[in-house]
Amino acid sequence: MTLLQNVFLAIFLCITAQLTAQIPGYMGKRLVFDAEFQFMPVISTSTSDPNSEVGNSFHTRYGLGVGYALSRTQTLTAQLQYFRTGMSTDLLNKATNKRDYLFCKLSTIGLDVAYNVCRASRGDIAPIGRQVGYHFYVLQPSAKDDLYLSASKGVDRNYDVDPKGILFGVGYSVTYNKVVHDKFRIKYGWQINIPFSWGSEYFPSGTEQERFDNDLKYKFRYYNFLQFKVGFGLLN
Amino acid sequence: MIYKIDCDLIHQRMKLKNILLNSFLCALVGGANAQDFNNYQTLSAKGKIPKDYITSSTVKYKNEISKIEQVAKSRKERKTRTAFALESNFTLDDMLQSGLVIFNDDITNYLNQVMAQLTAVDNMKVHVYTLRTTAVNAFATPRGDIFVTLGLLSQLENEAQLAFILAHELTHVKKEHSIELYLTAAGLGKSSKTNEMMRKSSFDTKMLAKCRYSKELETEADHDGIDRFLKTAYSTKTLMQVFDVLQYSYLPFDDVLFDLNIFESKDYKLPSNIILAKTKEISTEEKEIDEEQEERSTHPSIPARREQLENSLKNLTDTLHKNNFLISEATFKKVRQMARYELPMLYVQNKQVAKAIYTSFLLLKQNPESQYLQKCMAKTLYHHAKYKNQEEYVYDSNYKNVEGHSQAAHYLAEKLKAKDLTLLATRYAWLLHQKFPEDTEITTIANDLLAEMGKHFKSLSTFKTPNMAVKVAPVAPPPPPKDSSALSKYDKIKASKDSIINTNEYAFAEFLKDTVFTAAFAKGQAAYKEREKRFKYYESEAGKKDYKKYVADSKKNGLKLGISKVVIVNPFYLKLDIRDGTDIQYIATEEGQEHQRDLIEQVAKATNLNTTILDVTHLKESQIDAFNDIRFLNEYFAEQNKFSGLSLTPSSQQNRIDSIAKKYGTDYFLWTGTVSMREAKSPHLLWMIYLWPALPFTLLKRLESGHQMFHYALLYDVRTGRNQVIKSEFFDNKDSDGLMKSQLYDTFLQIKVGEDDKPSKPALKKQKVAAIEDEKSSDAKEEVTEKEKVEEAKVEKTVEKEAEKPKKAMTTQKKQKVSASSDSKTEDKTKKKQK
Repeated sequence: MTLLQNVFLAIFLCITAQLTAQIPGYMGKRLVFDAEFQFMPVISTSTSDPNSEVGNSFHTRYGLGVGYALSRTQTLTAQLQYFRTGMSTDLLNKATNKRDYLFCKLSTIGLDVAYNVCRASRGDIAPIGRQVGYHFYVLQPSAKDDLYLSASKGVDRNYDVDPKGILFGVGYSVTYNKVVHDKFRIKYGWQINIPFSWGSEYFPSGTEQERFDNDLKYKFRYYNFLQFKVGFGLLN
Repeated sequence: MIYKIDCDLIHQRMKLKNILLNSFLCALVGGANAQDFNNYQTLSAKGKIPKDYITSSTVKYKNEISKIEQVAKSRKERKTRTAFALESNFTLDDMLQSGLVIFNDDITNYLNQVMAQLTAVDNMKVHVYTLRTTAVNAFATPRGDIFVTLGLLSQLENEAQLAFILAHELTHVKKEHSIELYLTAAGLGKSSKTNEMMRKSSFDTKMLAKCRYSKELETEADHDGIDRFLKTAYSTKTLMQVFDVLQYSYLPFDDVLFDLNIFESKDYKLPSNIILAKTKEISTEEKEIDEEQEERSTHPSIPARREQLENSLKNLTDTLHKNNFLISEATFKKVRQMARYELPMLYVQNKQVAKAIYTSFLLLKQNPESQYLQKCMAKTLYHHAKYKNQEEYVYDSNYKNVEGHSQAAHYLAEKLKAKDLTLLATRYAWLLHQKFPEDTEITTIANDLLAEMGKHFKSLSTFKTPNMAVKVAPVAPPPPPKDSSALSKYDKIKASKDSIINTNEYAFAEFLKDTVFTAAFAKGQAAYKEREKRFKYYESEAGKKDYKKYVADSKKNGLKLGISKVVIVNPFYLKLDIRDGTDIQYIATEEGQEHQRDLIEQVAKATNLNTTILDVTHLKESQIDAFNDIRFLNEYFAEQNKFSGLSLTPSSQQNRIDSIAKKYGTDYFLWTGTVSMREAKSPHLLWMIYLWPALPFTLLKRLESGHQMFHYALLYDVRTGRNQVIKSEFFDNKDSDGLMKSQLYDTFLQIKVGEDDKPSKPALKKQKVAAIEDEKSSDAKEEVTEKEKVEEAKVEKTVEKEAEKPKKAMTTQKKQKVSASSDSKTEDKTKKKQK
């Protein structure tokens, strides 16, 4: 994190050096350090069988980020994220599964960089008001828990694989931001993420590692599709 | 007999004493502040600001609450009285702080002197204020203030009539009629019958009952007013005429034949078809009011009031000491004349063209050399000409409804065509400019009108002097045929056209050979051509593209006005709760006003923008100049909004505004404010029983806060009239500190930051375009402004050190750039509006 902070700081210094006496932002405060919580109810394509109903659970994502007001309508944000999928253990039923699925609390770290624009026509001024964000994200998912579901080999089988992958995509978000006590910013909104490629769920050939890697990436593409978010930030 | 002689002697002595005392007072009032009617200056407040003006309404309201606790007999009465105290205190203070009410001026001092005659009996403490409006009215407020309008003062014949009106209003104050009426409307009045009706009847019946009760109170005020009046030494001889004043209040203060000599010369005459041959006679009969109108009126009919007064005066005869004037006849006449002099300017400001022309005319008859009156006339003609030159302008007036000689002025204003009107206005303004060349207001108007002339006249060759006309042998009109029935329809139309004598060609006969005029005319023509060129450019594809770029750049980066100092005039704040009907939250509004002021100060500090806040409630008693400044600036703002269709016209009191700008060291004045609203959440969930498919939508709507906020910020360059709407936004949010500060910060930043700080590409291009436009065009208005600025710079230069000179020049150049860009946008907007 220290390294990342330094990187961000360097980026901001570069941006600041290019701008002049004009000081946008909230009362001249252009930097926002954000903590964000994103969630999405597990509706379908959960970590279990996509054809079955699932129990109540959420995919959750925790982010720490920093935002910078470029002008009165534009902000640039970067966020380091930790994403963990929801899991419904109700579905640990061999009979309903026809083939191998990952069934575990999948997690990923990721980086989301966004360019946000305020609705100038409605009087919103960065970094508060309604912002529309255009995102680019990178995810590096992994599955470290040892719980897999397999049609042929039964529940709880440890495949001794460590699925991994890397995903790229773009996103679109709408966020509502409010300032409290001149120092803090609270926000809420939603975000849609579209991967560069949706991939295929079914990957019959290949090694176990390859199949699980594919499944891992496939699942994250979908889990990541829609997220609701709330956040809290410190203005500086 | 002896007793009678003694009595007369005493009265004579008293009269002498009164005369001496009043002469002394008049010398004090009149001598010290003698009003020069030639160079009349509109009324303004003097002395110390009364505490009523600067004490917060909440404090006054809280003081009243403690009194209500003692008076109220029931919980409902306490509630009603509290509501009344709240509403009346805040509404009154709004009026006091608007600048419409003046104090310590010659008129108000005189009114209070007359009031002192009436209250000598019981030492009642009442303040009389002058209300700067043309309406003929006087009214009392529950706090014990009486307001007399300038319109009423201009119509009265003597002091005794004024005293009677004040005595009437005094009764309203003494008997607390306003609260009485309010309580009665709430079913808590003195009459149990009315109360019953108020509680159980329909809205309409309640209204009628309220009107009936109001009439009772008015009758009582007349009755008690005359009782009080009779205790003074005022004569009752002319009292009955007070009702004539009320009856004919719709007429001007005098009725004199409207002749056009003030506009015409030996050679130049106005077109004959705009002269009304016969005006409508003033109706001498009292207007008949039908029963329904009578029932719904809050005042008794004039005949009824006349009859009541007649009965009261029946058995009275004036004794020797009774007089129409106790203060002094001279003072009354002077005060009345001042009230009359105020009217033309008020009419100009309110766009009442015909009334402004006629009242100016009436006063010019008495004082033809008055610069002030001639300027009022010039300004009226100027505004009217500018409006008529706009193709879609509809003059909203109907001369047919007007009675008396003033109908001719209404006819003139309505019928005079744009071309003739522009010519008339230009001629009048130029003649005035020749008389008063140092008056920049007149110069601005004359130059702008010469530019307007370009619309109708392409060169000066259209105009002649009488000598030139002699050279061309006039074509003798054909002799009229003896038998008109021999004429065809077309011949008749032609004959009718020919009968209109048009002498427009001689309009400039007096100064056609004057090189200054010919040069100004040429400049006007050039300015018009440039203006047209600019309009065409903005209508062209390239212009539209450029404008779009400008708008997009403004949205993205702000306006970048580059102004270092701004004066914020009366920051406005209003809190409404419309969940149960439109309801002003008075106390929250005042608190919000204070809070908003704090926020402005904080944000100004954060942006490092040099700001001065002019706010009546924060003035000290001694800051009378600032009070007057606020009043003139508010008038300026109201006027600019009224004349928003006309771009860049000087205000009716531009010289005063210029001096205010000079005093505060900036030309830029900001009007900003916030309206916070809370509305009912709708639709109600119960509706979902019937409309269940709409449940998700309803739930979503119910989740909304119901708060709304409107925020605006308008910046004026008060010297040129160029303006810029910086903010005019609606938000579906509560007026939180964060939101307000963010908006204020953005406003101040847009004002403070200039193009030079960081020019973006489109902005640079726009600057170039503006610079090219600037080089090519220089309309009359800009020239005068620049001249003024150059003159000011000269004065400043003598004072400042040599080293600071380049800095100044840079600033002026920058300001001009900003003004030019703002101007082009305003003109474009105006053109679009016209379209």
